[in-house]
Amino acid sequence: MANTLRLYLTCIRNTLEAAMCLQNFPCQEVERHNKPEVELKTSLELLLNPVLICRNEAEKCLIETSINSIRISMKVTICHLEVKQADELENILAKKFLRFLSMRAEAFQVLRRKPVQGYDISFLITNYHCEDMHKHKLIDFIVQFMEDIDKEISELKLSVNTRGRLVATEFLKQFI
Amino acid sequence: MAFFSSGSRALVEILMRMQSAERPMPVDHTFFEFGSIRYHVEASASDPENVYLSISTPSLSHEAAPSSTGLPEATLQETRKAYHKFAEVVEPPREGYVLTLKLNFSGLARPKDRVKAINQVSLLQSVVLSSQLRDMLGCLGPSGTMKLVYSQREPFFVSKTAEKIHAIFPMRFRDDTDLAIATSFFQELQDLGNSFARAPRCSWSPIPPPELRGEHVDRLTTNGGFVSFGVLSRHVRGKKRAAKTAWILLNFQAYVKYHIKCTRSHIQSRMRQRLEALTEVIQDASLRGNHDKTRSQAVLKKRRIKRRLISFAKANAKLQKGFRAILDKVKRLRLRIRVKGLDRLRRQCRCFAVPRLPVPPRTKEKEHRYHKLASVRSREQG
Amino acid sequence: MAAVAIHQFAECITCHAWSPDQSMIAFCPNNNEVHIYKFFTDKWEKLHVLSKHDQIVSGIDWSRSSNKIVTVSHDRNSYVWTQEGSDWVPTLVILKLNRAALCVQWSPKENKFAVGSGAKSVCICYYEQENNWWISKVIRKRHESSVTSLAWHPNNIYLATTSTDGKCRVFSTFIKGVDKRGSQSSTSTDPKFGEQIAQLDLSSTWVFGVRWSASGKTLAYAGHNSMIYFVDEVESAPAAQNLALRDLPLRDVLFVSERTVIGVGFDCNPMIFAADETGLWSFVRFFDERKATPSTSKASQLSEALGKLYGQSKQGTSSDSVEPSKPRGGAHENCITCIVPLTKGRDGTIKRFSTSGLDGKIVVWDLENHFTIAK
Repeated sequence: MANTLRLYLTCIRNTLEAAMCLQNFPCQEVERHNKPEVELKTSLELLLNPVLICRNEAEKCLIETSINSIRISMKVTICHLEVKQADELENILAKKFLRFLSMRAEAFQVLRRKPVQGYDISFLITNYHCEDMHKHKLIDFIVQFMEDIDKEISELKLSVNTRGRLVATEFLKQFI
Repeated sequence: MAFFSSGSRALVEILMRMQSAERPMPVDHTFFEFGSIRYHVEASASDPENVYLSISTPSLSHEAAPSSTGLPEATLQETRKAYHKFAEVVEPPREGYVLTLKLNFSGLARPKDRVKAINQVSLLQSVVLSSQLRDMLGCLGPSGTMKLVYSQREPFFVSKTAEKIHAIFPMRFRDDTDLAIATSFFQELQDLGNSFARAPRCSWSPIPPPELRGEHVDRLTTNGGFVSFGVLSRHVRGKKRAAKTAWILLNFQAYVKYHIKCTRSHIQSRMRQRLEALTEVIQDASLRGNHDKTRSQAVLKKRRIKRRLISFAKANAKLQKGFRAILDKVKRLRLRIRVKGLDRLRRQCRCFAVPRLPVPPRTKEKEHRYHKLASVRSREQG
Repeated sequence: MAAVAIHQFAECITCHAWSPDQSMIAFCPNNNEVHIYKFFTDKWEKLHVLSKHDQIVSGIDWSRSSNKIVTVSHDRNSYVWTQEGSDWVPTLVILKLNRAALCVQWSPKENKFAVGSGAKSVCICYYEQENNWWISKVIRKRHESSVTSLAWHPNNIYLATTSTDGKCRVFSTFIKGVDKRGSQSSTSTDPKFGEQIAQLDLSSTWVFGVRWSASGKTLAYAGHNSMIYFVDEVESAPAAQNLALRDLPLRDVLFVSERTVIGVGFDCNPMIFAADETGLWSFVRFFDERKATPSTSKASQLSEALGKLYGQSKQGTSSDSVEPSKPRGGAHENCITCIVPLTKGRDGTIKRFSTSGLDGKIVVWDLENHFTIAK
């Protein structure tokens, strides 16, 4: 399990290093404006091929690049129709956690408030972020973010189950 | 958890304090306990021996909204029997209460007896409740199923057979987080059944169990499945144990709700911790501090020390500039006056403590704003 | 290190230009101003601040002979600054653009300058003596996307442009009255203004940083797919060479001699390319010796990733460990965006050049003592 995570993250890291070559580019559609082209998607020549990296059926990562911005979207939860009883808690915790983070997006600067359609969480990195921050640290942040989400969700699930067990023990002890 | 135990500690404390008071004092005290129980303790200065204790317990009945509020005769008889040594039932009970007792501890000479009596009085609520329950179960006959509603909560079913009584709780939840947490809890309850012999065996099923065949469909629609406890005769041997079992089972739904609430707040605080850890990483990624609006204090302090060493001229706020200007002057004053003759001036300058520069308040405020935002959100999410 | 001097002027520098005597430097610190610094004995001091633009200044060029500075900005305007006394006086140039201006360069004779814009057009501006102002003529056709970079041919007429549509085009900018009918042109008919001489469609993605060699024989430009293209004999029979880079793409190139090119870009380190006697170009080395060299497996995965982004599939090996990204450790910490020649030797090769980047540094590099240039 850990092995696939390492490979997945390495692949994402290398793709990001290649993709995060951004520069300031004024909007071609509207004068005197500067918009992230990956969000606009009006000038197709300014966009590069999106890259989809899949870890398994459930987890995947979409990296869309343009000349002045890059959008990274991640999916960690399983689709509603296919989820088994055992994974229901994990799914719900993942959704809750990612929504919690998305609502506090301004603390992260590069996080998008709403995830892209079909994904659970999205980042938008523009050339201004690359000017302000070290590129390698930014990539480190994204990779660590993904690792942390995985870790946090499994820890949350474990702690909820442990709590359940402790509380059930306490409840049954009452009868003694 | 204090409020799930059956004795009322507050009542014990009040009665003890009244007993140990040097001078008789008038008392007119109303207090509430978990589970919508209301007590009223009344004693007048002129008649200190008699303490009037009134209790209002939530109803235990077949329907959601009970019509009558009075206690059945059997319960009153039971209460009389339990407390005949030092209390008598006052008819009619005080306004808004179901039962009023007149307590008189003067008959009990030894303090140990008095303490014991007070503890017995504190169990009044469970006595009333268990007798009500026994009464209702008696109405059931040798076997059968009936629906009970305790304190306007969700109804639950009691099914009686020759050997055991099943208490079946249909569980309904508002959203899927609650459902998921509760499901994992029920799973654990079921799995732990083997290790606790004294506790009734618990089982969970997503569909209505066979005992409930014949019940109305809309009473049986749930999203959390059905939890049933199998109560055997050994679980209810003795009045005390029966009362305790009854109390625990009646409060099962409240227990589950409380567990869900605690788990939700635990999840929230964990998420907040992780959020802080991640924001530290992104703040660390910033090349230059000036653009960032939110920064951790530690990073801020380090950079400020560096800046102070490098150049004073790069100070941000005018206030800091002013402070530093004063600091510089003071420092220069201290250094300059190493001349022998000017001891007085030196002493004066030495008692001038060099003030430490205050940390700029804006980052603190900003941080607090973030914390406040998080806590407001958590309150909204409940 | 091959870097002679490193100056941190601002937090981020868009572009820079040197004065003719190289005592002053003009740059844009990623805002709407142009700062001019002068070197006084031991340090640089801010001499002037030219603030007439509303938005970020995207191109600056300082003419050698007439000491004029031309600046263009994302606010679609261009100003020509002349020094009168101790001040710089701006003259607005009506560019007739409806989108941002991206790059500017004086022609070799400095009687014209060219502006590339996001309006998918190129403006050639020249000075009209009678009306005492600058007039612009626009090459409107042909470009399908923003024009990112320009380069003048030494004959003062041909102009090479690169655009985000992936093509490099060479136009004629012959203007009657400004340019003399040349005996240099080999073709019998003189090319008209705006006529496209050649279109080079070598790259599948955006191209930046075009330059002619000193003789005008060779043209070099960089593509965002980590390629650099060398084209010989553009007017008559273009012969192109593609060179794939190992790491990240380039932003700008400079010919230091006929057979040596320096490229700068997202690697934060200048790269040296040289052509051998047969004319085959190859990558020599990075200019700045770095302590940490990336491992080969990382490089191959990087090229694989780059290939995916640009629609080509390449084979690559996967590695098991996730290494944290190492900081580059060199003169520049962030992408280098601009390279400008400084001192020319007697033989016509460039001895020193300077680079500026998004980390706000301007670094002067010395070629003479660190690299033998093939002529």
